[in-house]
Amino acid sequence: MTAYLESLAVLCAIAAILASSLDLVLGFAGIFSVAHAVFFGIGAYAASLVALHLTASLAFALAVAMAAGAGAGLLLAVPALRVREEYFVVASLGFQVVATTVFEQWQAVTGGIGGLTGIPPPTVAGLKVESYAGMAALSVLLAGAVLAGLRALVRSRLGRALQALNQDEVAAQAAGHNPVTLRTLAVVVSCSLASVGGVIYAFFSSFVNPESFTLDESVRVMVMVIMGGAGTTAGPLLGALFVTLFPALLSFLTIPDQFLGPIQRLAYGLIVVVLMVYEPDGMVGLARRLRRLRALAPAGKPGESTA
Amino acid sequence: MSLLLQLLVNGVALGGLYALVAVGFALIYGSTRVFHFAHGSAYLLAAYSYYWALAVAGTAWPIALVAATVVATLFGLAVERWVYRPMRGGRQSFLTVFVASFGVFVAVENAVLLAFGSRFYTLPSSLSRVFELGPVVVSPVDLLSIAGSAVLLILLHLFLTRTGTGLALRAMADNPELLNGVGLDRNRYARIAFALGSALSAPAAVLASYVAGLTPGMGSSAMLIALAATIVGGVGSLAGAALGALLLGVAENVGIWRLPANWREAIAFAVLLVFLLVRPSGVLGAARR
Repeated sequence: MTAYLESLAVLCAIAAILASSLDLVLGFAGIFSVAHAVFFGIGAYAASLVALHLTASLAFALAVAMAAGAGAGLLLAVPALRVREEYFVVASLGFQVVATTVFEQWQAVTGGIGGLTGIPPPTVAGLKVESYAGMAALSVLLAGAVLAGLRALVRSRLGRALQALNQDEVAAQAAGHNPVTLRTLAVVVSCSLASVGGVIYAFFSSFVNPESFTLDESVRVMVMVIMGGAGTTAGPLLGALFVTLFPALLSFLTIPDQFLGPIQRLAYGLIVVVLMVYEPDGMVGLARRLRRLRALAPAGKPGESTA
Repeated sequence: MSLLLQLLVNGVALGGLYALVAVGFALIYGSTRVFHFAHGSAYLLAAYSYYWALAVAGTAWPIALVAATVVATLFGLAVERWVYRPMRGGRQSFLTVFVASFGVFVAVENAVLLAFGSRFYTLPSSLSRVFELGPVVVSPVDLLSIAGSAVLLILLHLFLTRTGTGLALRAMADNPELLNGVGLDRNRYARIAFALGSALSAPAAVLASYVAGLTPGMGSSAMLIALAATIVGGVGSLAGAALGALLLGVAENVGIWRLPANWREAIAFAVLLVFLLVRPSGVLGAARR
């Protein structure tokens, strides 16, 4: 049971890293990417290759994975500068499909469909982290660092320039911001941070295969951001926790195994639809609405505070 | 050389089916601006309805085809009424609609999975038996795909250009506000676009089931191709979507002439990426970003 909770903590940390880093481009820079799982995958493959062939040092794996993620991010930045909105959604979709095929077919590097196995546990400052508890602590620490870094970035001059660009490109340009540099930087940072999630995933599961980095995963991350509330700090975190923990909650119900997966996903799909129809600002919007109701309650008729 | 010709014929047959799905998507997207990702669900539901009517209920194929078309159409009308219409005109952005649509898609795929299981179904038929036609080998399904999609696309074209309703639909694509201005009900035309677009995916789903069988994942691959074709062809142009679909079908088939078959989907999307970078407005698209 503890092992189960600890592994859930690792999965939540990974989801939080993916959702928050995607929100940098999606919520703050207005670049609608459905290719985030590609960078998650690149981080995981890079860490696995380093751990299998060079060293199990976490710091080294992180450095290599983030560099690889940033490099691949440059590829995605090219269409991001050319096309916007629905066109970019489809461009990133194309990027995702091509990358999935490369993961599956590039036997020599990715191990093809079978993937890479036998990844050793990571070492931190010479110490081997083997236990689930150690892995959970490490993941939560890394997620905390990524989230704090993103928060600082969004509040910096650079982050504000990015939001200005998203709201009014002409005005932002007139204020001296260069859209090409800013957008490229946002995409590269976002992709590089997503690969941190991949590093944790590779060390935690000790094997990686292309199944974890498909379009489904990309859309799942996007759903976390939109469901939670794009362009906020709390939103992606809430969305990540909900999307990761929700199936775990349902698995406590007594449903026959072969129906459990489809029922989980059916319920998840329906919740997403209902939330989007009634509260397009996501869970953050929902919380805001509740807070407003509570603030109004003393002034309103008694007993109607939860209406 | 005859191999290349063969791949070309296969490509056109496949592209014809893609075209029906893509044109349906483009019709819905063009006239309502809803990025209807769940369009693939209409396709999925049509395929399984046809299978159920034919193999489980034991009806004749024309009745099964009608049933499939009715189910797809009703699905389109239902999501328009219960999901997209409540979302219209609020704070909803492009992304919220996309995510809601994706939610519908996931729900439908898993409902089908619960009802039919994940096993692979095939349709028993002589329709997929191949024969030689001149230098190439074809099956009746291939010929039906080419002829059927051509006829349906021509009928759609006539409908859109020769009838008042078709004209209103095209006007809505150009300027939705205008429609209200001349006293036409936007909701009514949105309904027509969804009904028509969803219905078009039914024959494609049925024919594709004869070729490749049925799995719950078939909706998502059809949807991806339809999206790609719409963008390659140029958003807002139905002819462009049809042409884009044909191009992708041919590119997939000719591509595997030189590359392993596993690269099919990647080839289609590589073509898409090149198009987006070189000509973002598509083959026939108007010059807009």
